[in-house]
Amino acid sequence: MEYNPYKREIILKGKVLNELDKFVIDFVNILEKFVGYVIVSGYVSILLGRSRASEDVDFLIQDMTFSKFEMMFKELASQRFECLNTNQIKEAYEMLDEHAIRFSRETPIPNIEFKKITSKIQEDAFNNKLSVKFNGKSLFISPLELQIAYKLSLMSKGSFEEISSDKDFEDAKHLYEVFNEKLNKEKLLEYIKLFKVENRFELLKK
Amino acid sequence: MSQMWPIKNEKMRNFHERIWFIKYWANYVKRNSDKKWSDGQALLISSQIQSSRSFYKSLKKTEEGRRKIEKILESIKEQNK
Repeated sequence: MEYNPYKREIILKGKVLNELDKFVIDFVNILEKFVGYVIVSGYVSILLGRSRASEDVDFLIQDMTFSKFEMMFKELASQRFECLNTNQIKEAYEMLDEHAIRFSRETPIPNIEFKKITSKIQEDAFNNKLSVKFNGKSLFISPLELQIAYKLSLMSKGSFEEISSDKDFEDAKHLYEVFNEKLNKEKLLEYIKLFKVENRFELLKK
Repeated sequence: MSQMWPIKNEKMRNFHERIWFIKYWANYVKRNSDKKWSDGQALLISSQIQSSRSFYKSLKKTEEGRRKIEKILESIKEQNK
């Protein structure tokens, strides 16, 4: 795995695609024709080697017009992707202003969680996204420093026993261990402070 | 109360073992080719997704199963609200 922070790209050579990768690539092949996106949360760690599966893959997307959304929705449907929330295009589009919608193919799991960018931190993820290149395909993911801090913020807020099997902590730990030497430590600390997860970060570094 | 301590210790030990493995696996990913680590990872992930697909296929075959799928879909929709 080659990470070049200056080019903002990670290259995976000869990656063996798993069923989740294939599902995501098929979705992105349609999505990217219509709107900019960035993948956040669990699948980022999985794409970069974490040994676990996931029920969903989280996408943040730029705002899009109804006509573009309609074209995208129809093309997704033609490739057997269905919206789990509704089959009415207008309703799905309007839901995006309120909450995420989900797309799946054949079975509800795995599914795509599809959400509009609505906050400054989500804009940050989009504007500073990394390109992961493998098998002739590129996927855009959240910057690693932001991803680590964000994952720590998702951890259960309870006692040590409650966090002892926390997948979010483990996802953050995996990224920290794999990319430690190349992380922008200043940026990472900035995000750690922003999410107020200084104590959890101390645990992560051990 | 005294019976709680062995559980706490067990969880603590489990936590350290899990973290040990995360470090071990991260090191494996760094030291080996992308082809090698992703081959093992694909076995794990693909088998879980395939078993989930088989599960839903078998549920779809009966009326009771289809009702269960409806319930699952409802709970997924609720998660987003």
